[in-house]
Amino acid sequence: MIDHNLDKYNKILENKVSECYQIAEEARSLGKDVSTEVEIPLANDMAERVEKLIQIDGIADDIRELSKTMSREEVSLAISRKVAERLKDDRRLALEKSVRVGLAILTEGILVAPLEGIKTVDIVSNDDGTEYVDIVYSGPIRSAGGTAQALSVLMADIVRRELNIGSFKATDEEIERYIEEIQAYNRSKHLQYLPTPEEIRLVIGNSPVMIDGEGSEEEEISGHRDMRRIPTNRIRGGMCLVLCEGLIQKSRKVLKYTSLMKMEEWNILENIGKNKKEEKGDNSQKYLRDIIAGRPVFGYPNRPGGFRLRYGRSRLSGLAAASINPVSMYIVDEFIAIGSQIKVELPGKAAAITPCDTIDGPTVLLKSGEHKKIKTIEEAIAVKEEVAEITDLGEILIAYGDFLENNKNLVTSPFTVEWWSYYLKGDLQKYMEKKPDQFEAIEISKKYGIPLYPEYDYYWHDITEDELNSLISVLERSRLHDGNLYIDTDAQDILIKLGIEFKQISGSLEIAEYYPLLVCTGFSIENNIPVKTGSYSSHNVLEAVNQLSGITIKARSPIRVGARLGRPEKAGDRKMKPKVHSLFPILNYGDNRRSILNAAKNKSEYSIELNERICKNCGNETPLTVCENCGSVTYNQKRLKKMNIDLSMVLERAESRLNIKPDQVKDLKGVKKLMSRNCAVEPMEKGILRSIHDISINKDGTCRYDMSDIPITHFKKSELNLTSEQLIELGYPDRELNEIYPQDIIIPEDSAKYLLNVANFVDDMLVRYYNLQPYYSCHSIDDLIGELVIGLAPHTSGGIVSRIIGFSKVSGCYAHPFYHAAKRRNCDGDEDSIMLLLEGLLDFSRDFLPSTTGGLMDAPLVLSAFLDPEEVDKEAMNVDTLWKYPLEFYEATEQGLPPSKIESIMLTMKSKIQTQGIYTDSGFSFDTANLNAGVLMSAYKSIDSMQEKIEKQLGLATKLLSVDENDVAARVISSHFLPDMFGNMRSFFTQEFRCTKCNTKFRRVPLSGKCLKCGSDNIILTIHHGSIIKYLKETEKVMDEYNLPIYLQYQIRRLIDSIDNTFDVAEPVKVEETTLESFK
Amino acid sequence: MDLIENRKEVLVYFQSKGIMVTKKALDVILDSSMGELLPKMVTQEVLDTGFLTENDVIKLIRSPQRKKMDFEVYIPDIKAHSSVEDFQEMFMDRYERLKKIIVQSSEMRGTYTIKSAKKAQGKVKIVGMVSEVSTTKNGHKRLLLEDLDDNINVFLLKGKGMNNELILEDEVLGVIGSVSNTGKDPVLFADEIIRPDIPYKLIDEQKKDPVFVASLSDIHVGSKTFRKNDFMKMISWIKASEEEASKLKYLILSGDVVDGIGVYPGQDKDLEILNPYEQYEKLAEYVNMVPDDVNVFIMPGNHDIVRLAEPQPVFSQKIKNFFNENVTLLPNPYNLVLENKNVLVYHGMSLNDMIELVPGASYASVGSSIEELLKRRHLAPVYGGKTPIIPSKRDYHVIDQVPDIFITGHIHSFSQGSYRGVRYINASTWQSQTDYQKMMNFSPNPSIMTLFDLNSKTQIIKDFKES
Repeated sequence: MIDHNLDKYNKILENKVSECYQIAEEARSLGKDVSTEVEIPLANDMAERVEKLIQIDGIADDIRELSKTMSREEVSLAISRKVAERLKDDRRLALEKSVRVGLAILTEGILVAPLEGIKTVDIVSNDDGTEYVDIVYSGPIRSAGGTAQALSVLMADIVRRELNIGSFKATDEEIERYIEEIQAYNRSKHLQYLPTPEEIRLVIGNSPVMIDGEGSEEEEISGHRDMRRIPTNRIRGGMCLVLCEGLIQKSRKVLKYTSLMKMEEWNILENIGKNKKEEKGDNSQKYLRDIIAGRPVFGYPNRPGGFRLRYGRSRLSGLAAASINPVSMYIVDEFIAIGSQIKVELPGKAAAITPCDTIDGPTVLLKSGEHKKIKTIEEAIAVKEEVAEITDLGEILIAYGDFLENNKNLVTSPFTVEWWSYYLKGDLQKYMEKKPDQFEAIEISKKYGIPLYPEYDYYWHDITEDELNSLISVLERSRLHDGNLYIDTDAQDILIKLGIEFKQISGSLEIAEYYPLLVCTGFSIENNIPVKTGSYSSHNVLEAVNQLSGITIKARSPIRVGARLGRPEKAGDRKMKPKVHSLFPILNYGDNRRSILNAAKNKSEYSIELNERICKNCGNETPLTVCENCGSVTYNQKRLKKMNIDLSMVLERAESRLNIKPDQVKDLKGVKKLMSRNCAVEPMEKGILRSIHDISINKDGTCRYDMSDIPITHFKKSELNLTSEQLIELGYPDRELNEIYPQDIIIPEDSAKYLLNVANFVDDMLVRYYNLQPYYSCHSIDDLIGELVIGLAPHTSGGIVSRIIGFSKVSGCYAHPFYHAAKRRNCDGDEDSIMLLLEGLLDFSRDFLPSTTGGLMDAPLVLSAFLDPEEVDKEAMNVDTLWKYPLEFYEATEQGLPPSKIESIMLTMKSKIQTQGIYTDSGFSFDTANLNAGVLMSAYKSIDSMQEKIEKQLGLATKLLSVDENDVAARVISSHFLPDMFGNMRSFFTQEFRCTKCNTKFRRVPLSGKCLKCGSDNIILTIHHGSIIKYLKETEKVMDEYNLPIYLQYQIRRLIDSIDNTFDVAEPVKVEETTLESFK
Repeated sequence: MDLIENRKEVLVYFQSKGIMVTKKALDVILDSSMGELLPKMVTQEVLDTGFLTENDVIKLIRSPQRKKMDFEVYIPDIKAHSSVEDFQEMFMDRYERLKKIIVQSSEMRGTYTIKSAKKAQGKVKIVGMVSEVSTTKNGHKRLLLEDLDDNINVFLLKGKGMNNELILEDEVLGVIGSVSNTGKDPVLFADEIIRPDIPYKLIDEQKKDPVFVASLSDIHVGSKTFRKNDFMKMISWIKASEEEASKLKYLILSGDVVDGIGVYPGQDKDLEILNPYEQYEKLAEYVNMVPDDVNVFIMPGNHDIVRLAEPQPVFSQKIKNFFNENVTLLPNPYNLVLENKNVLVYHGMSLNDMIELVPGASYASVGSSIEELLKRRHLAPVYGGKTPIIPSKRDYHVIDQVPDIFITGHIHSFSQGSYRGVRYINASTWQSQTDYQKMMNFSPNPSIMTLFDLNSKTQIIKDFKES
């Protein structure tokens, strides 16, 4: 299946990977690290990843064998059974491993759910001596997805039978507890599906295994407490997910497997969903819920003026990323940048934004009265202050594949040049290249009977019949002069709705592109005078203009996609808070800044419980990997022991061994204590070198850079400033446009600068700490081209190798959709991290990972060197690869067909692999001049003050034709400001207190006013008056300026009153009359 | 109350309230024959200072006595200042006032400060506020107790059966036990826990005509689920001048008299009247139908249009103006003195916290939680839960005066009982089951009026539920 050039590419990767492994293995074998092995094992495929993740030797072959004939789900159930059989001597272990292994297979051996999502699987005795199985889920099970969650319960049930363990029988009271708990969970966390009490009763009452969870939420249930078999009163989030979003929501899928396995007890699931309403309802408003202060709304659902839908895929879109014209990014006051997430009305919930300059940009009404399309970024910047109204946001390019992925019925396509081109036969084909002018366009439509050229096709569907009539009567009074049409200003609003450009010239509107307007409204030009000749009978305006003109006019832009700003784009190095250079514990001696240097001065010697090691040479007992006395390496005793640390000596010896002068180390930050089970201490030398290279450490010992995910399928040599030599060396043909290899990434320049520091740190470490040769020898970021990194996403524990091929100016990681999918990500606002390969191999250790739930998340527990399209997230298979969408597609949109109906003609990755056997050599349907063209940082990030953000947000709402500014104001206040202020007001009176000296928190202020721990009297509030009135001024201002619903006004006045009546602080909260009296 | 005419009786009366009377004040009282007005002089202000001055008495002369009583209500003017000191002073005040009650107990004679207890040998008695409660691996209970300048770990041993004692954070208690200095820090092994508690008290049945005080709560006017018909039936009954109704002299509305606004998200959908001001107007329409020889007291609750944090002040003048003159507005909480009896009224927000903490308590059975408040002589013992309290120099939730009747609401259940002679009630609501309660599987018991006879143990329950 892999085609030829990928072989060559994989060879390049393979060589580089094994080079790094060799060096890392040599370095770690010296014994100077917490373990002598490289702790990121390579895994070639899913089977191997599962084996390494769950640590069951030899299971990979079984998985591979079964995978030849079975689906993933069937394999997981079969393997689960097999593992149970193999381990049956220890029933508890057998249960646990078999459930975990099955879940790992379902999640491709990438996700952390099998490890972290299941806390324990226990065998518990009933009062009558029988036994049952109790699966305790925890929060990270969420990442597994509903089907896998549900199947994990089935696995436990299957294995239970094999091991002859009895079944769970819930008591009525326990069932009531589940019902109360699930409803409580739904109030705070929101479930995708909230089952009815009957459904919960049905499933819990019949489930032969106990679906349990750790008490994951802060909130406790109020009834049904202190139950014998449910040890926690807290809400068990994992249980709620598995039951509601798993077993119940996916009941139909689950039934498929239970009938296959003849597990008849589960037939009860057939009774589920009888009341389940099809989630058809009106979902179009969903994205408007929870509007966030400072993040603007760009359009209300399908409202004129908003982003106009256009179908297609640019080389920078697909996999939940959509493209807009870069000019549109500027016109919305730069709130949308490349990589910003927007929440959308359709086809899914959200999308990342990338630039595409071959689709329409915005249209604005200027203060001068001119209505014009803004075509360039320069122009957008120039007219910034002159914009009175944004009458059209331009187009948003959404790929067919995203409709397919979301199973969203196709909606009518706008009439576009792509579609129009299918009408061009014979002579007309010259218009494929050359745009017809307004007269030509009308002429060819009349002569050949083809629909009017899209650019002269206005938004007729947006005006009413009355407006059409008044337009016609205005046009009857119009006159032609010097190639322009002059009409009465009364028609201004109608022209704006139609999207027609005009200028205000001495009391009239001057229209340059007038001919299509006249023809469409039934006029012809006789002796340079418009004469009304046509008539109409239809009450539908679009049909009416067809009748009036006598030519075919199709709907220009019938669908607008409502949107608002979601999460802004992100790119930045990962810093623990506060910043840390070394996982070296210094208790409280380093002050709040956790400075190791200060700790060495304050209190050089202290004792602390750490992982014990013994010096090979002098027998010294130490937590360090290199003996502080004699410099020899030490043995791990694999136990905890309280030991003394002489910090200044440790520091001094480390510096001298590295041959670094103390004054080179300006700032060195450690941690208070270690969070890992073994409390293994990182070598101080590494921390010193990190400090010198100004890079911080992540909890797992590695250095990370986080970025938003954005897709690219084809890149240009010129936009990356690559030389021909560089291209060829990377294994690409020397040409301007190249399809990107699946594991190649284009990273932000800022990221490259960070990685350059990491590379230099690695070289320093190799030379000064391990006494080996440097590897990277990088002088500038260009030297990083061709180097390998590990891509790793949160909630997963499997990394994938990728290669840097160039740099961008954006805040996001451009990479092949398959690469993002290999990390279980799409491009709807997700972000993840990269680390330099050799750095990861040298520095990562499982011994550093926190022992708490979630500790294994986001840690590189296995690494895939090669991307296997079989094992990437299936979502990527829906990316379409056509150079041009076929006519049948546009016809299908007019019929509103489900996208799957035409899947075979759209050449998605899936059908491409099926029919051609390869996934390379793909196409895209819209070009973009440069991947950097667009806003590079969202105004949401560049504006510091919340006040200014809100002013801009509301200002933009006022300017946008597609947005109801009063409604935005009301939503911002009721979903953001009021809950925030009310919440803080409540918390103020039940707040905790903190000692500024030792940072101890107190539930209640000590009676003595002194810290119970360190005796200092610096006890402070954790919530101040300031955080209560934080948004008060803004709220009042918005209330004055916008027309808010009356109930909201009551609420605001009530709040202001309440604050006035509660606090007496230096600055008066409010002077004007806001007493209750003003309610009337 | 009978006319008091001699000097001694006046002094004895005030002494029983812990109030000293200045000579001039005493002269004025006797000169003006003000014996009948003595209970009115016992204002919260006077109780707080412990002195009755000439001025306090003269105030009463200047406002000529009307037929119906005109209640002076002491309304503390407290504001928060965003400072740690406010919080600290409030807890210090709580500690000191509850300590005063605890050391009155004969077992607690001769208490030590924690600091001196730590140095002592053998048996000691201390009074402390609980900062932390935990259970050790071996099942003993460990408390961290604080006084004004030190703290100590106290162990309630399993062997002594003390580990099951319900200890709430921030309650003030006395401990009798032995200090052990064997470890690094001295610890105290408790033998006995002494709570401020309610002294046993016999109700002195006075052979007098009954005087009824009626308790209503959580009326929620303005809500779509307010039970208008029941409420109207109840008002008609009062007006009807039946035997019992004619003896009704006081009517107490203990909070959530309207549904308010913005109390929970989406409340507007449940409201019949969106304007909170009109909600009070509507309430006044009903209340003003009550005959004006009945004194009506209205207290705010968490739904009302005053600040949420307790003590909640009385309603604004504008709202007051809606009501007839027989209506007196109360802050929340408040200790009313009626016919020389203490009627403690508290809306009851802290009951939410208590129900979670008191074993076996639930919304349907709230009596045990109310008793736990009385035992601790505090209306909201646990800090940091769901009850916002304004920090100030005085802790307004300490129960200084032993109440004769303790009225609460908020929960919408209906339960009553008696604890060491204190009659208590969680008053019934006048709102039907709400969607939230439905979700929580809680059925309120609405539309019940309870009448307490101030002169006997008699209670009458009037159910106005439409069948």
